Amino acid sequence: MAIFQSPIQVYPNSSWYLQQKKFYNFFTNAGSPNYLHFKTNLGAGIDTMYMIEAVGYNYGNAYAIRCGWGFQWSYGVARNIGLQNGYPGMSADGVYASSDGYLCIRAYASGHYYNGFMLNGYATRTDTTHYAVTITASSQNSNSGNYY
Amino acid sequence: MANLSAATGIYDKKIQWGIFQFSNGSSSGNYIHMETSITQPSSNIMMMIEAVGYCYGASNPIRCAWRFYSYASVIGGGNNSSYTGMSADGVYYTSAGYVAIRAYTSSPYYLGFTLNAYPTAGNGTGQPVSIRRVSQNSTSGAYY
Repeated sequence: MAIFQSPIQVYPNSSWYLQQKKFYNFFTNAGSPNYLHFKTNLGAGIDTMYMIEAVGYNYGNAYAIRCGWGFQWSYGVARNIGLQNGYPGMSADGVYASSDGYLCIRAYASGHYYNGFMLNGYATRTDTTHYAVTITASSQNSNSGNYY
Repeated sequence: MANLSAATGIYDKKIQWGIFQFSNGSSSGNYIHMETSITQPSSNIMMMIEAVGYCYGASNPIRCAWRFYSYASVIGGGNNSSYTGMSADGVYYTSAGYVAIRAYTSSPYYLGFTLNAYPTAGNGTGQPVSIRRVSQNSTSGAYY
């Protein structure tokens, strides 16, 4: 068996990759609060487009997870945000800029008891510069707006 | 960290990540036609191809899939779309003798996605697949 070290980056384009699989892993056994906030390394000085997707399982609400956040991140402003939920274990709930200028994503579930998932990233615009997206901070709390 | 070239074949190529990428800034032409390397008739290959990405114009992520069995005619051809940034719109045989897949989006401005393939269903498992040519246009039927 071939075991790849994460993140698995597929399809190089210039100095970055079109697919970044399992660039972050999250697990909680705390059933509440209901919101998860993730702060990325995408800062205010760049212009890019991504789709970030969560894939996993939420034991607490007994559903699989597949949900996606799509956005343009343009110099500190998130535009044309799309939130989609393929499986009902957790919902993509929002995209926002942190107070110090980084892109953040927010997820929601009615319960998080033993909720675990990974994040995949898909860079989608090849005529601009992309980066290896990472998560620099995460928090489970009751804030339905901007936490960071 | 594992840095992998495209396309990446896993498990006897039953999983093929990154067989193709599409990106442009054009807002004209709602249909994307992609001619695969799967020949017809009677190549006997069962396959699922999925697109994953983001459409700025439609303001939504993309996850959609085409399924087909390339026999004397496309058997069981069809489409599934999980996210609404772009839809898997159709499967057809081209005049040059290949299977083509067609996608649709209501607003293609800055549309970007990559394709993954899963030839897993029994006939033609692990068959390598690539995209021979692509066109963004207004044809809702067979373009190639």
